[in-house]
Amino acid sequence: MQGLTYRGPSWVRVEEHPEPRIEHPNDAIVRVARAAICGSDLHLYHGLVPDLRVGTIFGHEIAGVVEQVGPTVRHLVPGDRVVVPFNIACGTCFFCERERTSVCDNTNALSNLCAGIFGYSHTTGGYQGGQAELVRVPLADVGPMKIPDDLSYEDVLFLSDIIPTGYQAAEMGDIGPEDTVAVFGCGPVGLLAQRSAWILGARRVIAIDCVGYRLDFARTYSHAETVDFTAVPDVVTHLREMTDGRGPDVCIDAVGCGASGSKFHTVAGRKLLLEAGAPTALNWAIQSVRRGGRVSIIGVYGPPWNLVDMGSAMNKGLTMKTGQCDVKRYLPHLLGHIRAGRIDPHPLITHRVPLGDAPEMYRLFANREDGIIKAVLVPEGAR
Amino acid sequence: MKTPRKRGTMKARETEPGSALPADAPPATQPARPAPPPSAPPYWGADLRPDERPGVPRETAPHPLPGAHWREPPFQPTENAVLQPAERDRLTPVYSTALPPRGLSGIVRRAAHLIPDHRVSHWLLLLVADRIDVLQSLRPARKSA
Repeated sequence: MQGLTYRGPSWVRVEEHPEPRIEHPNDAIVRVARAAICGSDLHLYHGLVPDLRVGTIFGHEIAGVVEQVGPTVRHLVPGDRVVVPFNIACGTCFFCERERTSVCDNTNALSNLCAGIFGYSHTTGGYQGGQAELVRVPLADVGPMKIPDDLSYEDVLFLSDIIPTGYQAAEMGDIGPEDTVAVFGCGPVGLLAQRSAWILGARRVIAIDCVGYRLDFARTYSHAETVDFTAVPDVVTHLREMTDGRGPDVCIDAVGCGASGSKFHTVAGRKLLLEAGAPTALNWAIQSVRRGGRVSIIGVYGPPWNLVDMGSAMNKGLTMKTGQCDVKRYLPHLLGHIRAGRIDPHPLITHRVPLGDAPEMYRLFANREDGIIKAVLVPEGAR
Repeated sequence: MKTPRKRGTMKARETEPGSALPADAPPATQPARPAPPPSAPPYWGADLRPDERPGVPRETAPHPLPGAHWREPPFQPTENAVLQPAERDRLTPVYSTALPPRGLSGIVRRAAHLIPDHRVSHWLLLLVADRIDVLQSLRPARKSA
């Protein structure tokens, strides 16, 4: 089978791989119908995540049809259409029992950081990803959600990651009706965090980025006020001026370790790897939020460290929440928002291409070219 | 679309000072819903109440997730040697067998996994192993599609 394969930093290609097989009695093999490229896949693409082995198939946003199930699988049968949460969870460990599936204790044999994740390096378990024709889905009775008959793959594909992730980003901000919310990043997760901030009842939503077409998109898709941080002398001062000198009540970092905006962090973190990527957006969030405010960190950072302005965070008395998304707990609720039209995934899909064109999509995505917001890959033979 | 969810019980035991009622008992009259701001889209405030948000509280009272029909998942048969963190005494019930360590990069990876992952040296060795892996894979080993 074919799969989008890592060869080295900024170098991926589609290669032949052996087909996955049932390795655990509760495995399923899913034939991928749609797979999306996530902004966090770019951290892999740039070689920023440790223990990323040549030959890794990327892809953790997956929807498809069950082709084969292991002997103990009770809730899926071949032919079921499913959307697959990006984190692999057992459902009964200390963390899963508290609905914290993102930190499941039983699915990542290779590190103590988080649960297993599809196609996201051996730091998250080394599972092959779904930007391929077939994917092995462990513990299939817990993770995948059957797709209702009246919904298409593309209606629900983003429930695998970016819709719940964007929603959790806003939810971690404890947003109330008096709150001004600033979201750093207008990638897909940032856009969905902005939209979710309105759903949670924000008074104002401000989107910050440096890519013109993304800021344009945020104004229409997310109804956000926008700030191009390259067009203002100092983005932190600018945000304070927009908010009566105090700063936003809630700041959301939806960028992570691939941030631009600081020459120092770009060189130290992204070029020399002296820190785990560039924490520029996180520092701006800490510095611009009002004293006593809340900072939500959903942008992805890898181990072991970053130069983060903890002195400001501590002295300003901030509340900070962070974490990978616990996708499973959000699925029924957010499916309701999709059905009601409050979250519309379709405008985000700017590129829909065969799997063979995936390397070009990575190049476009990394360089912010051709107006790309979200690329969806369609493996050969998928309907 | 909300499924019944088991919630924490801590809040239910808290009471207002001088009151016999639980603190989270519904008030006699619901507070007025605030008006949406002028710039808000039509879907504003659909999840205004924190107790209706699916991730609140962030950690629920313990309960097995739907679909899990085990106390602990059965263990995957051990077919290949898989590295594991230095501080773990056993493999997890499920794991990936894809891309086992190989060559010089594999030696460095094995050395890294002897060091707990809260140590910087663990991660630095893995980054070194990753770059060696790229170099040793420059000889084309797979057929490009």
